[in-house]
Amino acid sequence: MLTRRNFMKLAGAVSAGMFLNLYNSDIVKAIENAGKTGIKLVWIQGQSDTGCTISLLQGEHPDIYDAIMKLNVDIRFHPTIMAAQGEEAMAALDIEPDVLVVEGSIPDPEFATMGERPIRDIVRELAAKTKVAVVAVGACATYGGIPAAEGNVTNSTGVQYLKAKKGGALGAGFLSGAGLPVVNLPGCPAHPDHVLLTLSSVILGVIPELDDKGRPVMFFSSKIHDECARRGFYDVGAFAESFHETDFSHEKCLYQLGCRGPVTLSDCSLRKWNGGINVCMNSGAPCIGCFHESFPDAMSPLFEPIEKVPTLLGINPVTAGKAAVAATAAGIAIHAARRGVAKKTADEGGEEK
Amino acid sequence: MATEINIDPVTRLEGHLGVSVSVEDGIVVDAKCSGTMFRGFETILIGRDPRDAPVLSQRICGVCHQSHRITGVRALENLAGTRVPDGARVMRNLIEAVTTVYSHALWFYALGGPDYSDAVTKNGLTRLDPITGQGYREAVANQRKLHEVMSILGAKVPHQMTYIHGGMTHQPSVEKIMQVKTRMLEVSDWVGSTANLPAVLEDKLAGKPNDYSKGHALNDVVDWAVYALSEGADKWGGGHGKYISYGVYDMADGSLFEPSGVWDGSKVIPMDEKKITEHVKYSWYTDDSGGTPASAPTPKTKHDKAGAYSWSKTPRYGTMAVEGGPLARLVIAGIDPFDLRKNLGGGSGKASTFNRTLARMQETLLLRDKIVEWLDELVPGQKTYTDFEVPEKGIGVGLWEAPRGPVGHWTEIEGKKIKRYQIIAGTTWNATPRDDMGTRGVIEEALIGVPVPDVKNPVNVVRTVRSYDPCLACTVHVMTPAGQKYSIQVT
Repeated sequence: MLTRRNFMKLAGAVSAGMFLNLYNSDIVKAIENAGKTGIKLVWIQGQSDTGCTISLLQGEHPDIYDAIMKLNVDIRFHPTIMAAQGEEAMAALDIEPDVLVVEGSIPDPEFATMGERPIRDIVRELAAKTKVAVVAVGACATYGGIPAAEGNVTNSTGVQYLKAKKGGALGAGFLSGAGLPVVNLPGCPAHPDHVLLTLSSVILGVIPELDDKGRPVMFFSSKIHDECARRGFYDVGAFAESFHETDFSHEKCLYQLGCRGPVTLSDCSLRKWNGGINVCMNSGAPCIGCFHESFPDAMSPLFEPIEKVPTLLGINPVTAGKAAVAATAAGIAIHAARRGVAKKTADEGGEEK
Repeated sequence: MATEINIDPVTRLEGHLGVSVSVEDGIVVDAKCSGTMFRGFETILIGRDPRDAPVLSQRICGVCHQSHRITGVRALENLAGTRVPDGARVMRNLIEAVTTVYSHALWFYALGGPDYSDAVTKNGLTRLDPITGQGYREAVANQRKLHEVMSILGAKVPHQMTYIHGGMTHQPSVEKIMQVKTRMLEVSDWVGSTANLPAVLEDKLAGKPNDYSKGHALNDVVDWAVYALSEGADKWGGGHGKYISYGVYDMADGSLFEPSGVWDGSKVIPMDEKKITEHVKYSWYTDDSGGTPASAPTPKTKHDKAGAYSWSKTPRYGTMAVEGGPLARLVIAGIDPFDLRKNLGGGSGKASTFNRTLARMQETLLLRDKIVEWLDELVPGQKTYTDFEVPEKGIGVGLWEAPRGPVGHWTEIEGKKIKRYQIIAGTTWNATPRDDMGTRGVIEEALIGVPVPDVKNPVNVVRTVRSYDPCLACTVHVMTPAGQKYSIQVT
């Protein structure tokens, strides 16, 4: 059986990318045990597109329905899946939740209401009563996302951050009843494994180690670029120059077409999506940095390479931008050299590759 | 005196919705719908690289993300005069069709279907019970396979990433085609062959026990249909009875598999995009925020506007209130498989809560069969991209169909930047407030005449609202006029 201590050890010891696949059944068991104590969970949607919920409903490690059925987590409120509605649904909010999940950003009062009450008030009230943890799910709830991007007419913000700056709807000093800041699970949408593993560990009372932006380190300690299946193409300087050559069969890196993998923290490349089937870069789509705390503004324009996006370089020059660009500059030089060589060979009657 | 029933939030849909209806003598006599969340996408897009718009506007909705992405891409390609290679055309159709089948199945088993389940009505249809029902469980497993298909073709779901200005970011391969085919065949087995439908219906009407070897989903649909008819769902929920479709699925000859058009109540007339206008008299925007999308200004908010009750604008075709969605598409296409709407629902073109739901199921079967056919059109390794350059200036129009209604994007570019962006989403056609002339919105009108024998349990009201599969990536609630309020118990 998986005890809390063992669970924590596992979470720390095993690479995040492998964790769920290896310990899927143990997690389910752990959740089942925890469920007996009756965990009250409330899920609120602010300025959201429900994409994170849809993402979560398709989770497989564990299957959300198995989790709900077996763990007996008491989901008191979730607008997309609950049977109740209207006043009966609103009455369900009159509790002290153990876990509060927020999906979507939080605007000024008039721009988002439910049951004729501002979402911002509902979130603040529930957060103040939350015993264990407030979990912000997705790009919008974590750091503001698209509603809080340049042109933000609704004064929208994340739950405890606005882009990289702490504050947000609950304020920089907010702590849950258990003394925790908001746990941030970014991404557009959030990854279902991140959500389920974080929730299940929180339910067990095991709080994952968080980084300086409130993210669990186990999912957000390496760049998407680091484990990218196209990393080898990057290393040898083979860059796609248009979408004519982005299919994997062309064996080119997507850097020049705007890939944000080198500046974005997440284990997407290893974990992949929809049951580990695919991930953006594998199908020729450059990463848009949807896990980045400054998505989308610092990532725009999305289809230009990193060095042409000054705001991006300004954000994290030490760890991300410069290093990546320096490495890439080297990669590009290799690329140019190879092309030169290939050209030369062609001129000499050889076949251009 | 009328009794007011206020339902806010209406759950089990994308976003939040509240509905307020006035009931007199057990019949709905008035209704109001209002969107109360606003994000300002059209403002946020201004000044950005036009190629970013499909990616960002895709995130309007976590259910019909692919519809917004493709519509945004089509607006750009329309302006640039781009014609995508055949491989991209087929891949795009496949993604759209799989997503629509997925979305319709999600509706049947998770969103709207439970209103007809044993959990809600004690009618014995336990397979449709949310979460615990066997049908629900099977559907989740099969929806996951459809999500995998969407992921193979679209890189990840939600928010597929492979649509790009000029085509697709990847190309078909033998492996991908086989991966998709395998999953589609598994899902198909569970659904059952379309050809089995009349037999399943006949058996059911003859009182025979369900034969699940003919298809699990087919049996569930027939169970639903027979029960819904016994509830009289073919008699109410009609509304304005006029339809619009922008058309969807590009065929090789330039036609659309489900064509564009407007049903004016008696016949199909051609759809002219220039006749689309948006009214704002009852919306929280300044009075000059409406107009035709190709020229209307970016909306300016005005939350203290007298008489206004919604963040949603009200699109009209000319002056006509028209509904969008699967029923609209099939009526305009002249398709009624097995004459089901005609024989069971009182007319192929008749609007009702029953026919709207039945058409969604008919379209699901139609597209499921097409997906298998279209897969065979893919040629491994074929070209899927053509050169694209952002035009210097001009207005591009993208028109397409989301599972739940027509989606339009209008992008105005100047100096290779977005100057103005207008979006009319699928549900916007249906879940609107009154228009400038005071005519009710589509859902508002459909609620008139819906029977509510027990004001404490207005299940027919929520069945009618959900028959539109409203997808409000916005909090929508409905105003409550003075009068007695009841909360509802639908569990």
